[in-house]
Amino acid sequence: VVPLPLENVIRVAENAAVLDAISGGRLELGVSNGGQPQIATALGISLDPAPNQKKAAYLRSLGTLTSTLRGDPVNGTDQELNPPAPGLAIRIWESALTKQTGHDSATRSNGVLIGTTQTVPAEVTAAAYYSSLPEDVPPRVGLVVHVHPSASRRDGLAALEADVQTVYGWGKDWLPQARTLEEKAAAINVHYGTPEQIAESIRAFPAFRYTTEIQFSVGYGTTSRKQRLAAAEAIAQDIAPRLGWKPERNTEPGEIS
Amino acid sequence: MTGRENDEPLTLAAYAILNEAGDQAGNYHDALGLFTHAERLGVDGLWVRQFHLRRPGPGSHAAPGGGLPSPMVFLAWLAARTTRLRLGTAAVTLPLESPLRVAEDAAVLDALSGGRVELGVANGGWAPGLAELFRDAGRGTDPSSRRTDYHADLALLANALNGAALNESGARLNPPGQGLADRVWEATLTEHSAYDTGACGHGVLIGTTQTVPADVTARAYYRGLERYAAQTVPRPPRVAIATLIYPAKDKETALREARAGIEEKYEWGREFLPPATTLAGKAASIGLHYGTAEQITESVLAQPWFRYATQLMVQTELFYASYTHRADALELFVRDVAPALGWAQTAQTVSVG
Repeated sequence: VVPLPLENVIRVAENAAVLDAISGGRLELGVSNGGQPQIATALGISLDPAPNQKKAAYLRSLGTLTSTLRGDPVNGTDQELNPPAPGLAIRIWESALTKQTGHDSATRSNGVLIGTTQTVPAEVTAAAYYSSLPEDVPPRVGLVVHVHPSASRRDGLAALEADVQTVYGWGKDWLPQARTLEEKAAAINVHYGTPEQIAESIRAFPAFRYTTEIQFSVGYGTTSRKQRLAAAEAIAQDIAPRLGWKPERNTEPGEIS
Repeated sequence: MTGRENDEPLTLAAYAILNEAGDQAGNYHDALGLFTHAERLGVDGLWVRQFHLRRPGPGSHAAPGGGLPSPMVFLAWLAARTTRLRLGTAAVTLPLESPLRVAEDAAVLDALSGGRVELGVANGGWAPGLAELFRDAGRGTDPSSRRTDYHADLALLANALNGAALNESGARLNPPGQGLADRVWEATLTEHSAYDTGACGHGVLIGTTQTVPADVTARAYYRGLERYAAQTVPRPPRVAIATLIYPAKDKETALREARAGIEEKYEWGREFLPPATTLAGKAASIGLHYGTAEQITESVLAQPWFRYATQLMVQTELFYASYTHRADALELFVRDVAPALGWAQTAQTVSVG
């Protein structure tokens, strides 16, 4: 996602509009109320340390972004966005870490991106999103899922150990309590083993039933580009179809290089 | 010999201001097609301008109905589809940007393109109300404080590109700016700013419709560059000059076909352009080189600025009916004009047919 507090939202709208124009309308624009204070300082931006003030500023930015993409006059001037990108205003997604942000994103008819390291379980955010979504708006719920295909669960866990310990250690203050490596992997939404086992593990993840798009990540437990490509291929051919996904167009195996 | 003032090899770039109204995605793709064609022709690089926002309506030369607000996004497409073209911004209006975000975008583009970025910046964007939309309000609005702010921004940009610590915890630009600091150019309009550009060791981008003649700007740049050499180390001059062309079977045909564009551009700049009454006079005043390849060659060679140029930014806009027409004009310039100006093709070209 693009952390809006670190950006000028008109520049974000411009970049998004140009990319959308060049790509033939393929952009999905994810934003967040993120941004670390030290990075903001380096960028010459002062973030309000009070969370409610920071949130208010984010909402103003998001409002400006949305209206600018719709083609409204920019901030009361006689200027409008160029290139025009009216379709992009309904392709905004917000990163949502809490029940409240799930609810808020829904009321704005935006999509939500729910991650693996949430302050509340992903399904709580997702349920809040559904309960607040206007009736005529199709839900858009993106769920990040870490996947590590391996010959067995045991092999997978061994390959994942270093990454799982690092990530869990980083978020241990607010992640679900976990002691064993297996529990820690579950706490950060890592799925491993054979394609059948991975598919089963994802289906058992409580947020899965709310998900409209799975965002696969193959970074954990892999060390080479080749390994990552093999993982991506396993996802497309053996895992995603087991979750109900149908490819739009069949590709020949081995087409990825 | 063509009597050039410098020993640098003359290089050739395609240049587009890209501010036409109409279907913007279509315009971008047409221009992207022209630039990939330029690489096949053996052109060394390209430059695109940056325009923010637009007024609703059809647009005119003074208030264009289109433009490219995000040159780096556009250049990223070319980074993926070309292998050799230098990718230039001419120029990013620095006062409307966060200098560190510019450094980040440039560094990513440079990493993706294998070090092909030429980062042109400018002190501009003074249309009423524009600065407040993009940067914090409360910055000075008189020319002297604008210049001070611009130089502060340039220093921030250079710091970031040079890998300096950017905050108390020592954060540095990532990806690192690997040599990008040596590839900064400034678009200048005055003698004063051209001198400053040289004194910073930067390259200079000079348009042909200037408030002062391009050769005056170029000479000031060389003086600045001497000062830079005296204080640090000598750097080769980098002087890219916009070269607007319209080839045709003879001058009369060129003038007839290009009439509307010449009149419009002359009207737009009549306050500061050299005064002219005839169509040919106006064409000269806006810096148009037209006619046969020989006539275009002669016209460019006759320019007082030519001896100072290290790069020609060839512009095929304003007068063209189609992109095929533009591609033909560029091809003619590359094959029949540039070699006569002293340009030696460095690249292996693919046959075009």
